[in-house]
Amino acid sequence: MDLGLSEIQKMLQQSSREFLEENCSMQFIRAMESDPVGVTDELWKNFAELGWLGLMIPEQYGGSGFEYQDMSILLEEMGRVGLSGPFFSTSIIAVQTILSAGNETQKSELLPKIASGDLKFSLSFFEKSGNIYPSEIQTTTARKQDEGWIINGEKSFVTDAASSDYFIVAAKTMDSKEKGISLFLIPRDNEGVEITEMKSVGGEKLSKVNFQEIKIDDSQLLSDENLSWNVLSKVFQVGASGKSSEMAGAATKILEITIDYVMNREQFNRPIGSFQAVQHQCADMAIMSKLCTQFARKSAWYLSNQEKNALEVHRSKAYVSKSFHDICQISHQLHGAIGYTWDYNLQVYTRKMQHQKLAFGDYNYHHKKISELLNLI
Amino acid sequence: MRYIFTQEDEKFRQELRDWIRNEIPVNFEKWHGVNEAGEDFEYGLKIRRKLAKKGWLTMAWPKEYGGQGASYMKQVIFNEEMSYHRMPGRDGFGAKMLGPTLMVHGTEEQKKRFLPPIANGEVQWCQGYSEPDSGSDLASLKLKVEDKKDHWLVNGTKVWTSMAHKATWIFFLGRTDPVAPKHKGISFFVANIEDSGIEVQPIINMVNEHYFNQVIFNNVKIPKDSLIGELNRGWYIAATLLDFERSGVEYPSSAKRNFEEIIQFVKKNKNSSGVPLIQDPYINKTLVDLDLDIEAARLIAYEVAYLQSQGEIPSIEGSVAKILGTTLTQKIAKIGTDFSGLYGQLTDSSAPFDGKYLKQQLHVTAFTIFAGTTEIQKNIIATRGLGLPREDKLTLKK
Repeated sequence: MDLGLSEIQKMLQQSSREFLEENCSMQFIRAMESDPVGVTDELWKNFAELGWLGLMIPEQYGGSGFEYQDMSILLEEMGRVGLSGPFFSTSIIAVQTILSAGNETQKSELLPKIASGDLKFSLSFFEKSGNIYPSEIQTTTARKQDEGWIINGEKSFVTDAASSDYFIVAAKTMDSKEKGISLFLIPRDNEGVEITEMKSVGGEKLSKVNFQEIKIDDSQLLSDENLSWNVLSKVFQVGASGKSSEMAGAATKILEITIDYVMNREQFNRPIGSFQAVQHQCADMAIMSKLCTQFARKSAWYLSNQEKNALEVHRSKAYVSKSFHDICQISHQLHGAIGYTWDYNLQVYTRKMQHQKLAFGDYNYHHKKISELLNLI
Repeated sequence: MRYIFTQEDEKFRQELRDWIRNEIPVNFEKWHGVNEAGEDFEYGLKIRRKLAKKGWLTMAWPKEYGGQGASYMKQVIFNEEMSYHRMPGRDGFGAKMLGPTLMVHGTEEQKKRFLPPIANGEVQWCQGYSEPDSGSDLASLKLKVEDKKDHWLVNGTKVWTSMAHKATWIFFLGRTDPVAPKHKGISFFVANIEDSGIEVQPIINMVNEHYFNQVIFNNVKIPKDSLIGELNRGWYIAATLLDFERSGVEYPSSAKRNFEEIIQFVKKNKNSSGVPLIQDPYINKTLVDLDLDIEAARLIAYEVAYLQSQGEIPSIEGSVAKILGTTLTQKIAKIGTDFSGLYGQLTDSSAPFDGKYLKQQLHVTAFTIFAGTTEIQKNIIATRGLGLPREDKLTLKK
């Protein structure tokens, strides 16, 4: 049992905090909300130089060769400054998918370009229902034809579609429930791809993507129907854990913002932070914030070190999704009217929270999964 | 990071678990623990002596005092397994609190006299802190201790003194300087209850059990060497004591056992339509929430032990662990009674678990009150942890 960070993780935490505080001010984060990509070319280049884009990519494919558990520390820091944007889609979700599903050629072609910042990816899984179950893939189909495939269908809640070079598309190929899904690589600028924006509250770039009679060849099959659901399950676990880490980082920051506010805001000739009614709510926030971090780190550690890791991920996403919402709510309560204004930064986190807590399974979904894994049904 | 125990630690857990399962007089599934403060006190002592022989009772102590210098994680495992298995025998007052305090503050003479009986599991201590007018504001305590040259003269009353009716010795805080600021006029003493003529009166709790007491010092004379540490430094000596192993892992661990028991119950028992209770969506959701609460309390307990293993004093995390652990205990006791409709109010054998959880529900009402109420713990988190101003030390601006 060692609940501390390794030396490397401490270094990553410190250096990323310094970099992000300097380069991703709240002003920048707010500007990126209305930016179509959500990140500047310059920042993306910096991420590449820092080795972050390829953090989880093995050295043989041009990456830094870290593990997911190390990445989770970087995600805490990104959550802390409120950074969203294509990093998550590309360097976590796509990297994890390609690493688990891709063949040697695909890995050696694609991964170095992710690490260098030349390619961005987005996973297109969800459909109209927005549910994370495999049976929800209903419209998107892949039909075998000659040396390739024809893809049709409509995807929803696709992250960072406009800035991605490739979509990783989950499509149905057979009639069975889980195994019938395969993953395909489709270039964004392919003929027949149509992107429509879905407007999200926290500046998250979400789209509907329509695929119409997309012809691709066999080399663009990332993983076949026998493997894909296993791959996706793992990817979703990483996604859920990753969102937990983002929220944990944001929770720590919100606690700091709140403490700072209640120490300085005076009413009845005293800082409001001297009232026990306020103090106890701060204590509640501190407890939940601490637990968000512990749950997220535990799930990250399990993902990197234990075969059986699903339960810890479900626990993490269930706990953090619920508690982080509570943390935001308490913080607003303690801030009074000012926290309710557009100009005050707290609300930026509160809006982003809505995506974070829903992405890769909401509280109810993970609750159900825990129930299944504990044999409570 | 590493969120599992080492192989060596797990080996110890297995050894301990084998021993415990062998020691439990009935089938493990049917074992509900004993009342150590009442009719099963002697049985608890018997187990305590066995633990002593195994070296486990004081395994946290340094080797020079006959302990094993066991790591914090090993202590956590010990407490986890003992709590999970509802085993009596641990010695919170002697082995965990007074022993380590004596090692730091006691004279050679005091150590020689008091430590071996604790280490051998031969003595029951109790702790005299709270007074009728001093609860959360403990430092306002008034029990008067006067220096009478060849002895100390003690007058006053201690209250909520757990186990005093079974204990032979008491360690307590008394006021030795009535004019000094409140924290600076308190000293730490030990006394033999019977020999000194200390009077112990029972207080029956709402479970209708005798667990705590009122302890009356009426012109009690105790020898000069009863003072532990420096005169008027008792508050600080007691504070060192409170910082010893506060992981609180016993709460989530006993909760885990209860959780498993309750799951078996709701799987086995059906509603009037013949559907197992566990399929009730509300019950199902309640259980998953409980799982998260158990995990939360466990994670914080581990964090406390981890920080201790790093040589840090986890005062805030200790408070968090106490809040989460005790709240959890209350929640699970309530759930254990709530699943059976009207039967949940019964104390006879037609009640679920023979009314065990109902009794526990009453019993654990004390948990968020003793050893620093939840409100005091939150004050600690807010002031020591988050740096917010203490309400009682605030000077108002004009």
